[in-house]
Amino acid sequence: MSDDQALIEGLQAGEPWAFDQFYRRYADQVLGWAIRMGGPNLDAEDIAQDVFTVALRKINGFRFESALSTWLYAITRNLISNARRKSRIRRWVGLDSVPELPDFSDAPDEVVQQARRRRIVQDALETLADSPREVLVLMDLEGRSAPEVSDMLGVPVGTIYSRLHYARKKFAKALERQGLGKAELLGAVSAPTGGRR
Amino acid sequence: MSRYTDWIPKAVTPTPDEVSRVTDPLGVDLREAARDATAPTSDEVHRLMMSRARVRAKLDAELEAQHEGWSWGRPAVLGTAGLLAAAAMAMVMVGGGEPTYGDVALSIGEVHALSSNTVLELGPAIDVTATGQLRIDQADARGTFVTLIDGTASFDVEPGADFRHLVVRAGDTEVEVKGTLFDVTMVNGEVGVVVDHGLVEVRHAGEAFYLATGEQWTVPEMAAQLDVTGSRKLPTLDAVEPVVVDDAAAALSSEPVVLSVPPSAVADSEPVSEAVDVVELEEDHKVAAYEPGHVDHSAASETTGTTMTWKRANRQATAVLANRNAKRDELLVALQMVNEVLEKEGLEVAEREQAMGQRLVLLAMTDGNATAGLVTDINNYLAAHPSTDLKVNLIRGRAQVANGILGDKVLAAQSYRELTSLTSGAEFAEAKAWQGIVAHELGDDREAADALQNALVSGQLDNEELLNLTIATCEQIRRCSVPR
Repeated sequence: MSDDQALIEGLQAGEPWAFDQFYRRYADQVLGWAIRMGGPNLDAEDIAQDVFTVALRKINGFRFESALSTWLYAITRNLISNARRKSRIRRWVGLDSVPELPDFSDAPDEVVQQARRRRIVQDALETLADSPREVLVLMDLEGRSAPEVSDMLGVPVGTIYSRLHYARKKFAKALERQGLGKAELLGAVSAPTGGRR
Repeated sequence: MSRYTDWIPKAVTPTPDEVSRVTDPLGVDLREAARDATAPTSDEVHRLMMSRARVRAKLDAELEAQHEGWSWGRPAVLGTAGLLAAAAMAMVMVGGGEPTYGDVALSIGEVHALSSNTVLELGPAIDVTATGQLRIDQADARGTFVTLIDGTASFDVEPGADFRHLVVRAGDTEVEVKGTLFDVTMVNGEVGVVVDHGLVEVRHAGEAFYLATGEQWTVPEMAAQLDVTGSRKLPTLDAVEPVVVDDAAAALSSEPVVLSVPPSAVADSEPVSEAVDVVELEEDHKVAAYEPGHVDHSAASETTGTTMTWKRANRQATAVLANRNAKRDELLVALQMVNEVLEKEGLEVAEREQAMGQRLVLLAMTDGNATAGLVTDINNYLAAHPSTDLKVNLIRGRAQVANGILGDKVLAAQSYRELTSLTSGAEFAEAKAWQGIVAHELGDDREAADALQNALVSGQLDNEELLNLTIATCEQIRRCSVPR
């Protein structure tokens, strides 16, 4: 019995240890998806919390036809897609603007720089359409193999590679356009600290 | 330089490193920097872990509510463990193989007698709790069609989920789901529909209408409802026509209008707690009061009693409009307030109309609460203002609502088509692109190819995300070619 199989059966039986283990095993992964796929306009922690809520609500319907992480990714993707659509409408009617970085006036320099670097990458990822973006995220930013991503997304390996190629070009170009941002990402220059960007 | 396609036919799966060497315009340093920059921090992971208790309490509450009254011979209140197990025992799977109910096959086309509150799962996004006789007529890629012969069935459909049509038939009534929780009853030949939250379309005796959150309908009521309004009872935009501030009291009731704001919304929504003049009247309700016609013209004066400055009124209305939990009636009153405020701010009629149109689209964001009448409201507005400068915005709004929120692709396609006849330049290109994308989703690749190529050839698709989506969709269609 695989670790995930025991975990799923534990969740379906309502075992408290499974509940905790589920979070411990997947919190990092789900948050990573929310940050990289959700972009700067969505709150990654809210999205991640929703993902766990929906997953636990539906766990009895899990049919062992895919890996648990694949199933969880599908839920994440669906929630992010809905949230992004709503966010776009809110911005269209002028209710929301693209959020600025929080006020880091009292934060340590490293926290400020980490937030700035994240925003640089998120802004560059925003220039990609969903399909190439998720391939870039799953392969380049998470280190998954093409066959694994092919299984997760249900598309042929060849398509994964072509999307990756396209995504890398676009992503690199977007970073180039940021100029100093790219240099900052690579640590070549330091960001100013102690205030809004 | 070799291309990635050179090694694909080798039938050897290349490693990510091999891929990188051939096709990597990023470089290892940049890729690793991007990976580190977007990795969750330990604080974020910790906060998510800490949210477990909240999630667990929420799920417990949901399951307890869902299973209240079950005849499982179990205590009324169960913890997560018992409830998850109980739900699993009654699960029925349909789609992706032979559906089963316990050990019994649940065949398509056969009538099944279901004992008290049997839980069926019709695909990943649709849960049904049913008592009585039910038949699943079809459950495949084309959609799910269920006939309720006798009894009650409660349908819970995840909003925005990726599912084809779900249509429930009871007698000569059809209910089509738009993402919602609702009950259908069929008792002694009489059909009833109650919408807990969300939106359904009901078709009966050649008429079609929407039911939204909190609305219910039975066959005898139908006739009266149609006689009164021609379609539905919900207020339309007529209720929020622009009014002069001095006439506001006459236009509305002379009684103060009370906007009920759910306590949870106040707690969860910062704009509401910040902007709304919240008065705690009783334990379960907090209200913000607005007295029509008594908007204080002095921007500097402070709120007294239920009269407030126009600035405060504006903030309050905006907060209500932004509040996802606001009720439709509250939103309509808020629109009225906004209109007064906008006039006070000296905006011209056209600008006020523009703001009103934007807020109509805003209404759509309240999902289950306000979408029901939104399309009707937009159509009414267009009928009343046929030459409005806002026409393009309203039709675009209707298209977005239909496409993105209601999932009504046919209405979306129609709206985008109309939009292409009203626009030029970048707006035309955008409308064409969406027309093509929606047409492709509807399976009309002839129209899709034509529209997508029109959009791409124009060279005026400014929105890069839409441009990428247009290219990606075009690449999926055999007859569509992406122009160089």
